[in-house]
Amino acid sequence: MSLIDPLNLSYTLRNLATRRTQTLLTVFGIALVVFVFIATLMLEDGLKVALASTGRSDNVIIIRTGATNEVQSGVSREHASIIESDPGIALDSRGQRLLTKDVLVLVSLKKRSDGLPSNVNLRGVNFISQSFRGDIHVLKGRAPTPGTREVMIGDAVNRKFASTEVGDVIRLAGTDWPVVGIFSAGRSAFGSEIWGDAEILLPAFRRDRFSSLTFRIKSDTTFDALKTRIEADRRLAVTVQRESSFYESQSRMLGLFIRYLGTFVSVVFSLGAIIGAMITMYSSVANRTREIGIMRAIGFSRFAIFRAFVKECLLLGLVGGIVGAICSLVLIRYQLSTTNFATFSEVGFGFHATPGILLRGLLFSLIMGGIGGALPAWRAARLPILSALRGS
Amino acid sequence: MNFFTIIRRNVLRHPLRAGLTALGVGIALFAFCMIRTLIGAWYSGVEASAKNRLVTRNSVSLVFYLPVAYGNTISQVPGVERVGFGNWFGGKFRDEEFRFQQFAVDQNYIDVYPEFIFAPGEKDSWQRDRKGILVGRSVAESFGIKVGDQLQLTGTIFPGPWDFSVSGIFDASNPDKDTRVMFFHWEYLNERNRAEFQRQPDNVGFFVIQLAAGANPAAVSKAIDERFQNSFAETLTETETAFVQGFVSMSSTIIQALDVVSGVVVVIMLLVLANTMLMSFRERYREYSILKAIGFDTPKLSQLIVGEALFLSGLGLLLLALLLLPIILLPTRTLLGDLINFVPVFKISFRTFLLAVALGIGSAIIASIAPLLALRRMLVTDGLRELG
Repeated sequence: MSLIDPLNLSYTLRNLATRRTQTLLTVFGIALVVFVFIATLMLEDGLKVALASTGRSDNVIIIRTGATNEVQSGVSREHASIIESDPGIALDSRGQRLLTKDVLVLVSLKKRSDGLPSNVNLRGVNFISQSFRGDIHVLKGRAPTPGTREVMIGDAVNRKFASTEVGDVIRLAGTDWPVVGIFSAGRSAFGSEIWGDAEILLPAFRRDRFSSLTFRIKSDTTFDALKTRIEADRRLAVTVQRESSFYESQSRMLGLFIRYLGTFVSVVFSLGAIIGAMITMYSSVANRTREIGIMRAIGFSRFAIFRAFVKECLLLGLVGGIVGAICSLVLIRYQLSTTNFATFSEVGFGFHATPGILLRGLLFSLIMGGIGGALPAWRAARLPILSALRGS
Repeated sequence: MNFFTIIRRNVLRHPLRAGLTALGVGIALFAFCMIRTLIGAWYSGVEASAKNRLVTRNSVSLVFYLPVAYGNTISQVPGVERVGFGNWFGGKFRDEEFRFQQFAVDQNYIDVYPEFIFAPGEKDSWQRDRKGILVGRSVAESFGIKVGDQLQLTGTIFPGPWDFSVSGIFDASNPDKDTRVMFFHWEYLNERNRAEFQRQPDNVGFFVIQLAAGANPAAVSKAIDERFQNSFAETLTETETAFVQGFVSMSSTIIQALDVVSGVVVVIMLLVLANTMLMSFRERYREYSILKAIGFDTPKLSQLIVGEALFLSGLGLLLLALLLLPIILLPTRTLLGDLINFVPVFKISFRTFLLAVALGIGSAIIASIAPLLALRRMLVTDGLRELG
């Protein structure tokens, strides 16, 4: 029995083992709460990762002033050619501009799960390169041949929507679009899109203007200078943004919603778990009244008793937290997809675990255990020795 | 001392524990009610939609337009009584987006929606004023808009400032109907669009169709779509209910997540209740032995246990009622504050409350199972042998 910790860990452990069912119920409750808490954090982070890894910070996207997304935007060919002549656009090794004039339309496809339609982005591009837009690579089939109606499907679209396999034909706007490839876009939101040739898409969908222009910025040009130069051009009415921050802003509402919901759920669930832990600890104190009296009589201080009970409850919390955190790791395998109402199109994202999130989960479980144990431990510490000895 | 008194005294022997348990049950059921109501709010648009009203739009997706001239063709289809059309405007108001919708509509449009109620004369004064705008009650209250006010929207699809004067503020006869909406003249939009933007002028986003009495919605939808088959803009016609349902199904993942959460809340409540019941049984092990020894049979004692669980969850339900009271009594606006922009309709239905009561009773019974089984196994001598 050391002076520092008069009531050692094995005392706590044996106490918990005596009331096995209650210990398990309490641990299970806390684990459940930590699981949900971590799950919402992972979801929020997953959405952020999906949209933050969409686009590069050295790419610039230009949409019409006033528009908040590419679907609302419109940049005419005339304006596009003015922008194309800007000296800040980087060139590739063959001297061609690293630039794409995209047309983005929403098309409605049927989901695999229930056959109900949902919106998907169909993006016409004129530059399909491995590195231009981050990590884009073809998983199955091949990339579309420029100048044809061939399209390739993002892996998230392929997972969620019916008849999107290589060899299938999608019928849109009175035209058949053969699927020739499935592509992966890493964690980015481009995986929730279908890509084809912009110059074919424009007439097929009776559009006469592009949705956006995206280009790589020359390394010796600063973004601010470029932004000022293009936005100040009186012939144009466009907004210049970094590609990465543009896509991040698209998910703000959805992210906010997940956070609100996650906070509400975590608060309610943790109240439940704290109450559960408190009930367990109070009964633990009540059952051990005489024992506490004896311990006090043979010289243990009030503080030692208090500490023993708090420790017991912290341990309950910690075990629950670890169980919950381990269970939540299973979620990493799952992908979610929902409509982002800011763009009216599907966005796929996963659960993204970071050490920080797991630590926050464990900390949360300790806090729940601590709060649940503090009051009962206080009562245990304050029991008068004589009446405790007399008690049952 | 009757049976109920024993139960009551048993519960109140540990007032703190009883209180905590009731608190757990109350909070869990409260959260359950809130989540169910939130899910219900999602579907409120579906509830408020009409099955005998049709919506025609471009078959590719909502962002594609249809020529306004389609309206004449549609109105000739048998079974069609009246055709209105509109464009989604997507404007920002005082720099805020997505707080309410604005539609550029024709004169017929508001007649297709009889559930919108206008003060006498307001419809007429709207029709006379080219820049007139009709504002839903919910938006008007959020922003303090009055009839005669001037207001400005900033277009996102049709850029620039758009000035309007408020011709009227309307209510909805159906409480489920969302009034976070504004209507202004399609002609005004179209003129400026043709002059300034050339973004497909003379095209509309969708047609709304009022059916003649007795017309078959499915047959009329089919007839309309057949008229435009193989044209350069094919149509998709469906009932308004199906149309709105389509929007709801877009967020099916979120709704499923909410469903799961409302289930887990109930499990947590069950855990708290079961924990308490197990504990009190353990404490009274010896008492039950004595009661058995002096002639109480197992069914009688079981009633004591189940009664105690029911009493506890009853206390929780009482707490639930107290928590729900302000939500039912206060007007939605005071209650939600700014959140009203996300959830238009937030009313806790009687059905949701009944469901919560049923769950409270159900979990009380489930929570008594473990003690009941232990009670059956218990031999009188076991309990008597035990030292407290």
